[in-house]
Amino acid sequence: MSQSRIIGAVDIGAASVTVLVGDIVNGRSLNIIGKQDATSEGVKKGEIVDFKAVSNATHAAIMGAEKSAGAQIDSIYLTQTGSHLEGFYNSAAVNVSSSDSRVSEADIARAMSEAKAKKLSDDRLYIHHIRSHFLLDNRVSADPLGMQGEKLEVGYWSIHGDERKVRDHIHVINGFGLNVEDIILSSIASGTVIATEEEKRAGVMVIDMGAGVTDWAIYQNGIVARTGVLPVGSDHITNDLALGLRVNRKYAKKLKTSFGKAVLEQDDRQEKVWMVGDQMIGDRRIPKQSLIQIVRERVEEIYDLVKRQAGELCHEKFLPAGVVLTGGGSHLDQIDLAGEKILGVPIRRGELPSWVHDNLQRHEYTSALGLLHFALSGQSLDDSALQRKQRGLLRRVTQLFVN
Amino acid sequence: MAKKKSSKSNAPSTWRSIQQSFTGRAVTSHARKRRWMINLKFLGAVLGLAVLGGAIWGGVQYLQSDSFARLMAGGSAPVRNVYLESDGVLDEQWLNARIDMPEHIELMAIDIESIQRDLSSDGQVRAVLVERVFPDALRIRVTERQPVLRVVLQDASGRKFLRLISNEGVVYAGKRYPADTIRSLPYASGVTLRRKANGEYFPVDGIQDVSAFLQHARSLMPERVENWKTVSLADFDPKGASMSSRLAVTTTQGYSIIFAPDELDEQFARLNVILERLESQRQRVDHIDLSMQDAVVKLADSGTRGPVRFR
Repeated sequence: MSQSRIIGAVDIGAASVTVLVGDIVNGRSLNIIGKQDATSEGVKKGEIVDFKAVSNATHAAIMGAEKSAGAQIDSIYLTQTGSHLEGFYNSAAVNVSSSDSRVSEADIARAMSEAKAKKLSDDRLYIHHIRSHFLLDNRVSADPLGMQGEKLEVGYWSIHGDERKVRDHIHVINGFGLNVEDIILSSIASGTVIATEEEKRAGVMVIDMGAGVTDWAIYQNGIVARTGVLPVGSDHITNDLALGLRVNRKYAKKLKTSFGKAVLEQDDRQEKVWMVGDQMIGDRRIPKQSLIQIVRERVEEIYDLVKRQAGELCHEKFLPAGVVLTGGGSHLDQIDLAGEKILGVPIRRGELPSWVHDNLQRHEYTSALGLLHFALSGQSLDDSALQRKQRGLLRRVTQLFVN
Repeated sequence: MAKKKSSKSNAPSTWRSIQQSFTGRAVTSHARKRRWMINLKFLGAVLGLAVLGGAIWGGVQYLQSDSFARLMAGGSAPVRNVYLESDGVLDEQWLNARIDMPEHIELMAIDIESIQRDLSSDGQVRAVLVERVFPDALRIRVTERQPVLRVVLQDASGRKFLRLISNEGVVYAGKRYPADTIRSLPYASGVTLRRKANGEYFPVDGIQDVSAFLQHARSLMPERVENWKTVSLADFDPKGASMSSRLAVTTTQGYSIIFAPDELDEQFARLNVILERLESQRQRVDHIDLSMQDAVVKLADSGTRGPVRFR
């Protein structure tokens, strides 16, 4: 008899709340059986500023998704973003304890525990501890168990956030009567599906440009090495246009979508575009050059901020596979070309995998699809492979006694 | 709702330490509606299960009840008729003696398997079929064994009693046979009967051959067979392995005839010739041995004369 688990993937963004419903059958196959978007309210720069409004929008979206799926969601996978999220790299080294200098499980557990032991201030809590490869006497090892060496070292990229802000996100879901099974950083959720395994092994940066924030993650050797969140997104381009062109936000958004570009070309200098498009009273012509210059400035600023936040890792030496763009903001024309100029690495717009249905082939769904991918693989980001292996071993040993 | 983060704990906090609960602050109309729906579904499921459980319990009770048995019987009623169909001589008198059926018993209450077992235990019965004929009748179909020989036995007290031997060699007490039928059966002699633990006898070997022999003889010379009094199996080898296998018939006239088990037609033909000649000569015979290539006849008053050979 097949076992089915209904999972909801919820991505609460500044522009919209996206909910996808996945049916995970026997833990092996995923069917996306429902989806719903709702206009988001009460979210600013990825953080909840109006709890009631966010709850209303999110609950409406989950309700709609359940209705479209015709099934009741069992638990939720939730994205997390916002400028309150920070990360640091911490490593720990232990001496191998056994007389024959072979690494034991206890050595590994001790090294991992010490590397994650750093205390945070009372108002902070960890979201992820993402382990990099082990170093055994400075040699890289994916699994050092049983290997010979003197010193075992392991490092973690630990991501932490403001407790109240994380709690608010969780309680929005709890308010609907559902539990949050896992929280995944937006950039990591997106990177899971938008970048290929080869790119992740070679070194790639995923930039998820949302409405309120821009999330990024750098993969090295197939593992998330760095992450970051910028409190700037495509909504800021809209705001800049509204202010710079003296139009209201509605028209600014329309102008951005219809004529916005991240690179100014010769032909654009003389061209003018209609603000409304009906050429009636109130409509007016706007120089395209002004529009594009405003967009370009903001886009270049975003890339520049990403480059500064990512530091030395944002270099072609560490990113042979370049940058993959996703998120609603990546629709902007020539945004990839503008990025290449600032970051100095090749940039491409991400493409969702072919298994994603046509009506979900939109960058707005990348994070939610990534969440479902995590739900299907059943893995937590934290010490995933090794811990699973240890649990498996422990379970087998336990079963020996049970049987 | 509150956080569960303990300041005393040494372990660093993770988001998993946040207590998740259905908090009032976050409840929207959508959430309330969903909760109502879940509660209704739960209530419906509980009620459904209760109804299902009740239905199963009621069903089991009903299946075990007499009403169900009556329903399945298409309306069972007290038994009014018992039909006995037999290919032999057994009749209702025999049936009444064998089974004790309470009056006014309902058809479905009758244990037909028990009746079948009981009737089958009678040695005269080869097969029996008991059927319910709804709404109020029982039909019993009996196939009987056909007697071939009879045998007089004696118990430990010296009391003699008659038993019949069927075509299959089964020894049984024949019931309801007309006296003529019994009288027409030759006695078996030279037979060793062995008893079973239940007092019955083991079947006698070779009776099928004897039956075929008698049937053949009756078809060819019925008047003569009427005078056959006993058939002796003393020298008869039912397996047919012995060259000296013989069947010896004693007639009511006092002479005996010895047959070999094969080439019966020829033996019967010679017997006819011999008997006709002896009858025409009004000579009395002691025995006729047809088992040899040449029939040997010993006359009753032959005195010192040796036996006569007929070719």
